[in-house]
Amino acid sequence: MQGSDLTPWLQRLKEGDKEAFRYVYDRTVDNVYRTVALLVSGRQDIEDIMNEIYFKLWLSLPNYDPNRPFRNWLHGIAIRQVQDWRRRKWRKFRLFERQKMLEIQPEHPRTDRVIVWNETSRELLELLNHLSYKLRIVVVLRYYHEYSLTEISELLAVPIGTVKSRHHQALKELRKHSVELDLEKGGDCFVH
Amino acid sequence: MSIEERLKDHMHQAADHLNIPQDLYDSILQSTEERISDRARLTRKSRSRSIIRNAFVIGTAAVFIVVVIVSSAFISPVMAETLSRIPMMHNVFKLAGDLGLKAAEQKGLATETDYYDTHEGYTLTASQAMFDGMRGAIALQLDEAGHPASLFDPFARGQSEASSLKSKGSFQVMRAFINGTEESITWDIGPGNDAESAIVTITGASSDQAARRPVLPETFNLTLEVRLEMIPEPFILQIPMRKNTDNHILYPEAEKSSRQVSWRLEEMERSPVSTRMELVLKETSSDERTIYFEVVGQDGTEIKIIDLYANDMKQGYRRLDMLYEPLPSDHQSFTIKPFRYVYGDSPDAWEKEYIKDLELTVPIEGND
Repeated sequence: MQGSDLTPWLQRLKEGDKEAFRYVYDRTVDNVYRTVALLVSGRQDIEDIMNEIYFKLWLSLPNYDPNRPFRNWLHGIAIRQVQDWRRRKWRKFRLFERQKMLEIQPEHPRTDRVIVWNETSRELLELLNHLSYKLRIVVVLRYYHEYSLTEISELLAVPIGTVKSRHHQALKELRKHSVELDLEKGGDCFVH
Repeated sequence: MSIEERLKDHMHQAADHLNIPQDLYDSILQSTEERISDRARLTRKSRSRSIIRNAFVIGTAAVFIVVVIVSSAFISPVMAETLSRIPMMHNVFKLAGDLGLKAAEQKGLATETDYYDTHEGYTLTASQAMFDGMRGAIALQLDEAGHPASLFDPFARGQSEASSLKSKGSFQVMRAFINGTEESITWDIGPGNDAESAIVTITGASSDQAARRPVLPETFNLTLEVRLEMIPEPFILQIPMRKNTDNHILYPEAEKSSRQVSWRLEEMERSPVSTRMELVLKETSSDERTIYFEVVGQDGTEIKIIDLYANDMKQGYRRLDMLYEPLPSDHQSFTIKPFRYVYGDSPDAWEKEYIKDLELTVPIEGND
């Protein structure tokens, strides 16, 4: 998902080219979809957010500076859409259960999420669900997208100190629930 | 490996298994078009020289799927042709397989194959296949116009910010189908003997893990749809799989309990390539950490785990279906050692905390 490969296609997309929309989608969807699915429960919610992201991608394209990494720009859009969705959901949620803070309550295991086969993966996702959203997004950006803490502070528009403390807190939480982070299947012969 | 590297690995694994719905694009396109109907509508360009169309034509022309199986005993003309096409073609199972795959290779249970698919000058070859009824294994190798190309390098990831952008041809994701459906199987990928190769493992798994591990049919057509970085067309490999081992199913009397945890071995299956243990775990402990089961052979050597499938039963009960390397055929017993992981004193050290009360040595009856 490197911007340089996509540049001519982004230009065509700006001109309203449907083929370019498909091309940009194909080149980015795995990465974007998985980012959203790691942050949000529920297949329908994920798809709604995906709709928003690609609509916003098209809408905001004239503002994209090709000198900046496309990946960071697109992730910025994705994160904003997830956060907008959370705000909308929070408003609805608060009508029913004011006392429960969505921000700090762990979410229930995802019953209708996309299928996760592997035991280690399943446990990691459950572990992520134990984290509050604010900690989880730092973990996803740091360990799935491998952004530096500075980049994460830019993407989330929060101070670097806040990112550091959330990162520290997230690792502490994960260690508390510890478990499978060391499950080496097959050791040297077959490392999964 | 530090906790950070481990987290990266597990995060990528978890993400790789999140499948993108096939109809998502249509839904997004429709939604986007509707919402921009009062803006500039997306238009289909009527250029005669569409890059996509040209790429499609080239891609289609470059697709070759060869369907010839070669005996593992001799190098046939087809294999010789493959070897000349890829000078670096290796015996991946022998060099990088677990003990079971090494044994399969030695005993002639692995089949040399030459199924391949080519896109944009990259050729992905399934060069070996093995199926013992419990797991299928396929060796994949990648080359670019006859030169080895980087397919799967677990060490490149996470070394630096720049390397998080994988090189062209790196493994991205795949789907696996048996007889055209992906309902009851799962896949896993691990490194081969070098960055140009990888080993794919196929096992039975139900999609919601609500039932016992599904049994794979004795013969099936395996289709791997592999996506590599920066190559839009998937590589399609169709590989006929046939079980070629006589497996022994055993029902050893083996159970152990402590105050809050108990386990019982329900079934055990052995082939020269794998050992499967199906075990029911009952747990009322407040310790949230998962219990794992290490298996140690008669001589104290660990029999390493290959795959773990689990499903919840009634409250407090969980069925674990675990695949291990083969138990050596001359062993008269093995030991099951349950443990939990604990974060150790030394930096980033995860250690096994064995639960001594739950250990048990199990004699093997009907050994051959």
